[in-house]
Amino acid sequence: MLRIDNLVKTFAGERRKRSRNGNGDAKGPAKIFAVNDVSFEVGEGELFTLLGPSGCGKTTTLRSIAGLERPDAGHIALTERVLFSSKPGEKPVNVPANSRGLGMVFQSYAIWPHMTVFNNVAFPLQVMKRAERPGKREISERVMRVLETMELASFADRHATKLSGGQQQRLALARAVVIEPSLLLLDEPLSNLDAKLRESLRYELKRLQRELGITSVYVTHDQIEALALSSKIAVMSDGSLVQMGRPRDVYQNPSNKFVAEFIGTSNFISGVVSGHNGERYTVETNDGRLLLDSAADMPDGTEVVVSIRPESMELSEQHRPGQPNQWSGNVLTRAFLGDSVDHVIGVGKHELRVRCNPSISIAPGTDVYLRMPPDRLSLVPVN
Amino acid sequence: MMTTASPAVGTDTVAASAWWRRWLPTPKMLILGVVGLVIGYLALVPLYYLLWGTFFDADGVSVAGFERAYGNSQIFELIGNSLWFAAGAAVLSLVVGTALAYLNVRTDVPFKALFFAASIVPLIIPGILYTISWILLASPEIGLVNKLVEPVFGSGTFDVFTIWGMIWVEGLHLSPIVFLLMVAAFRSMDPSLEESALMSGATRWQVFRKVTVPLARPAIVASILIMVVRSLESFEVPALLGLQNGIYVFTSRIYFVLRSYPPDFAAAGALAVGLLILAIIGVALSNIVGRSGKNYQTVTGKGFRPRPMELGKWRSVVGAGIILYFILTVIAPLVVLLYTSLLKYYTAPTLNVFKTMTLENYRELIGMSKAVTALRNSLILGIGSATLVMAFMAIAAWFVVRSRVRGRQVVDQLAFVPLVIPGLVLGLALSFVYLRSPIPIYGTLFILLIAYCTRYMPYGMRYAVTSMHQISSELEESAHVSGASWWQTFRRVIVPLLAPGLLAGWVYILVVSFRELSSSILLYSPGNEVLSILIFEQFEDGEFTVLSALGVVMVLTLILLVSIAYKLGAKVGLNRTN
Amino acid sequence: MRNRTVGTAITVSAIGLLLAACGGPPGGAGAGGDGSSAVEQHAKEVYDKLNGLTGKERTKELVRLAEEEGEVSIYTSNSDMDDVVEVFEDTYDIDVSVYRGNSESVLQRVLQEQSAGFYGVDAVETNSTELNVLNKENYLYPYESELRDKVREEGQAENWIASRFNVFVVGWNTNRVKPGEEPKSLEELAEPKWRSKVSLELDDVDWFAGMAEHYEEQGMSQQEIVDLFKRIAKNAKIVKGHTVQGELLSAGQFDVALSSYSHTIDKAADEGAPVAWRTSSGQPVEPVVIRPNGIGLTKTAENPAAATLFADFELQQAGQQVFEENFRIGSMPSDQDPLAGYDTVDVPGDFLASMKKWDRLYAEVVKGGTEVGGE
Repeated sequence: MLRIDNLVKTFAGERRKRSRNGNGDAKGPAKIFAVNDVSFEVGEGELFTLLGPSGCGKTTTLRSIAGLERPDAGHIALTERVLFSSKPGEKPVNVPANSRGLGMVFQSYAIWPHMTVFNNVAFPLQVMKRAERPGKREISERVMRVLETMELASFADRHATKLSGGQQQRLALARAVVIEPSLLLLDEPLSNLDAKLRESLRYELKRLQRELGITSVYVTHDQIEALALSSKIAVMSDGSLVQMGRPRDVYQNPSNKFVAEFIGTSNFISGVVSGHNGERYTVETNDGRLLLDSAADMPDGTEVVVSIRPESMELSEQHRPGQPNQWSGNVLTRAFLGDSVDHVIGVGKHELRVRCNPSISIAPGTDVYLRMPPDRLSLVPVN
Repeated sequence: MMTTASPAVGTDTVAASAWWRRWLPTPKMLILGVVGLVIGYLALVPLYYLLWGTFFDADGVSVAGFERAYGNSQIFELIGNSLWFAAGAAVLSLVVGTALAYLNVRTDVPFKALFFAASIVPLIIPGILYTISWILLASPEIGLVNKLVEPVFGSGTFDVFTIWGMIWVEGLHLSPIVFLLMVAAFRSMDPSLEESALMSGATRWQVFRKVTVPLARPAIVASILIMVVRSLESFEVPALLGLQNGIYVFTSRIYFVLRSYPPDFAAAGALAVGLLILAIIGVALSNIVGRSGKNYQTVTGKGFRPRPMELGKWRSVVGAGIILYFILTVIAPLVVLLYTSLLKYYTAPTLNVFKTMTLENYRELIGMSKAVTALRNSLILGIGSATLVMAFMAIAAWFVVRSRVRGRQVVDQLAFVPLVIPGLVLGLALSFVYLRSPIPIYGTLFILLIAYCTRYMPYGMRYAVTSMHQISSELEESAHVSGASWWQTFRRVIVPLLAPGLLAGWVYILVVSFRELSSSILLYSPGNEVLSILIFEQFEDGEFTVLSALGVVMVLTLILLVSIAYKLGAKVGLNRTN
Repeated sequence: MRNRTVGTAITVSAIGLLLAACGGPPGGAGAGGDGSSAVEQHAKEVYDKLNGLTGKERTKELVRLAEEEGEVSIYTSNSDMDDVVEVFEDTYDIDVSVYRGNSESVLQRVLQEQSAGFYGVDAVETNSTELNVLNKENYLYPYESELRDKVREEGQAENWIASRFNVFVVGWNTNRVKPGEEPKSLEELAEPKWRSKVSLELDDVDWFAGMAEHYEEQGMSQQEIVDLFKRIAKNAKIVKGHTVQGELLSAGQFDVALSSYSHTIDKAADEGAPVAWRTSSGQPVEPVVIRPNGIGLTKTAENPAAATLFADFELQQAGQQVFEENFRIGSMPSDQDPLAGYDTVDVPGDFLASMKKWDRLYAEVVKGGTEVGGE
């Protein structure tokens, strides 16, 4: 559906300073890569998420797809249609933003404050080329249909600025989908809402996206949002794409320390590969030996980091014989979080975070056993 | 805002287009190009004339003009006086204009309608009448206010013939420019920005200082820029008030060198070049301030509800203050005008005088055949130049603020140039060009229209640029992504959002164009008289009382026009008041 | 890069357009109207023809030609022009179009137009200084008629003719200066008792030049003269513009105005203002300075006959009467000459040549005085 190849966008150091703050461009002096050789593909009907901290290049990538930013090099194509192409020796292509036929929801919604709700949504239809533009009645029907889907129909004649935050967000979405675009771009659409509203709208967004079946590219720095919504996640850092995959894969098998740290919390234990048999690796650490499953191809003697999610570990006061990766430690602190209890366990020099079911709560100072299932440990190469 | 705000100008449209089609200008390029050319043309004609007259004489290149202009033992005193006067007037008008605008837009102050009128009336009264009114009010010898307070404070309490008097009169007279700029800025500001600061424990004054003022910085910088340049080149007030006590300013020298024959254009030019350099630095500075882009984009895609701040117990105090201000700056001079217009000659009010009052002056005005023509022409020129300037400057402001074209700042600088060109020089430059050009507009209203557009371009540009800085670029981008072309975006999104600023600029130009004299007097022709010419004639004829009547009529006409404009404007623009 | 070109293209093409419009740098003003132009040729023929005639014959031919032309364009700084034109249009079947400005703009406009070869003006009616400039620039055609020879001698200028005089007088506020206390001479106003009670006008350089020459003839050195005026200026409040000066005089802002126009004072007094320039026995502060204002015919007039007729008209009874009604002093000596018996002084004949000098001196006087006056 959407295919992006070798996208590159640089900013000159001097110009960087003037760039808008905090919307996802790399910082630093001199000529800097905002987007460095990024390639990915988004399938029909997918919700593809670009995830990363601010300054990682995700927004620049999105804006390049929208046509609001002109990349230095690369190739962007939507199905068969080339939107942008700049390869040495080939004729350059850059379709202007207003001819790409996409829908986009902006971080600040970008609702036009001087128009009514209806007019905001009707605008994309009204500015279509004369030949394609629907008649007045059809415009009205289509707008009302979308407004109904968004539960905004009763506000049609209101001034857009008089809506609440959540309503404005839905209005922005309504405007983006009214032309039934082949691709919907969303730039942190939920970041301006309070926590509760964000959660409810998150599910609504997912429902709408499924219902409408629009292929979407979603930009966020919120990993929970990314995990909850996406069919596929691409994690970006410093302008490069560092890992791409289904949410579960990315979460459970981060390909490097950055991803592991950025998505959720992780415990890291460093060690050396001492042997492997097929996918079963043995890693020696300062605090003991770990067995784990990994598809990675690493020779013996490689320095590695083993990462494990807090919720992937089990905690008990008794030793369970016969189980691998069982370490002894001591509870340092615990914290009740409502739906879980976090314990910090001291193991040798390490402090490991373990998240338990609320039924398990062990007082600090207690000696405990820590079990790490081999299939929940991931091997992250150093560097 | 610069690098990421908008797509580059001149993006290629279609992949398969032939090479020549890519070089064919898009409508956007064409519009921007035309606007750029028009601005360049309007600014460069008089500038070229000015510089030529300054640097070239019969023997070639020469800087003798600079020597004559600046090589004077008193020049430091003059510049000192000028700077003191300009700074004082700028500060006064800035404080007064900003305070009035803030109270009017952001608080639940009483008498809002009265207030709005009060804030722009000083602009409408012709400068010479406003100044003379102040002489009649606050001269130590004959001032009515002085007579009023004499029993308490003794004679001659207020003296308008001092540098303070000059600052007072000029500052009040200029304050409406600031007021109009700031009203537009405050209208486009989300009150929650201030409320959040209040919630963080800041006092109201701290909020004003730390949130409101920084957010309005582009408007403030634009105000200061215009105020300082305007006061530096102002001549009316220094001539009428300063001369009595020998306070000479920079412009006195321009006046003296242009007075004798042949006029010393080189020296006048040299002085204007000094102002020009100052102005160029000012514009560059204001661009640096505006560069922090997003910080001032208070018109965003997130809606906000205007909610005036409640003044609480201060409401009545502020209300009283407004009444006082209104009486001081509007009622007093207007009453003096009205009073004078009912007399045969000015004399201090006594019972006897009231018995002799007549409407004779108004009758004379009605009987004047030229009066109707002049009013019509002034209306045509005022509305025409205000509309043209604001339309062009809206596009130019986009070009300067939003486009990424190299050299866009040049357009901003060029648009500001006419502010420093003396009206007489502009008149000479235009008559020089159009007497020789094949375009047959010499002797028609068009040449006046060109003159007015040139003179008011700097103000229009400041108003438009200031408003443009406030509009979030995402509003524009979202229209673009929605499929709107550049022109559709401009027309349907940007112009309505700019409306408060454009309207303010429009009102300003309309009002001041009614008094434009220094270039009109050289360029008008029989049958094309304008009101300012009529004023001049009455003034020359010594018909001071008829002149006062004319002033009263002008004030009433313009108040009516401005009210209509705002009523209409409320319908098209960003409606935030209901 | 394409982007770069846009910015510079604007500048470059704007300059290009400008140059195209000008057809050259504005420095080369020069003589745009070449001597052989048809307009000038025609005007010369008409003028010469009229100047060759006298008496009734001239009048008849003049009116015939003028009405044939049917219109005339006059540039003026004369504030009574509307009244004159009204009577003129009642008398003849000729449309008069009037451009009115201050004398500087009248001059600049004529200079601009003539140098560009644009012949918009048939006759110029303004102050002597400006008319002398136009004459020096060779734009005027000699006006000759029997009327001309009857004009007061001071008004028979080279190539133009005075229609009326501006008379500079010392005016006072009769409420503030009691009868018997009126100033007797300019010198008296330098005395300390007039401190802050006197007013000087900023631009009356010609008045100053006239008075200075008068004192020079009386044997004062230039230094003494300047000193005298500086002492007067010390007492003075400087005002710009005769209208403001007149208005402030009647309002009582100061007691005495040094270089008022007699007609400003007379007009105000007629309306009841407490001002005068003569004592009850008819004695002004002497000498009074007179400056001719007149009319000049342009060489390139498109309506030379109508212009000549208008000049004639101003000098005839009807025209002179309009001036009189407006408290002006006409250039034709009459039975009730308002200046009869008064000591008068002219603006110096070489005023134009020495204008820069007078300008500088007067500026020095005006400023010098105020250093003290400002307290």
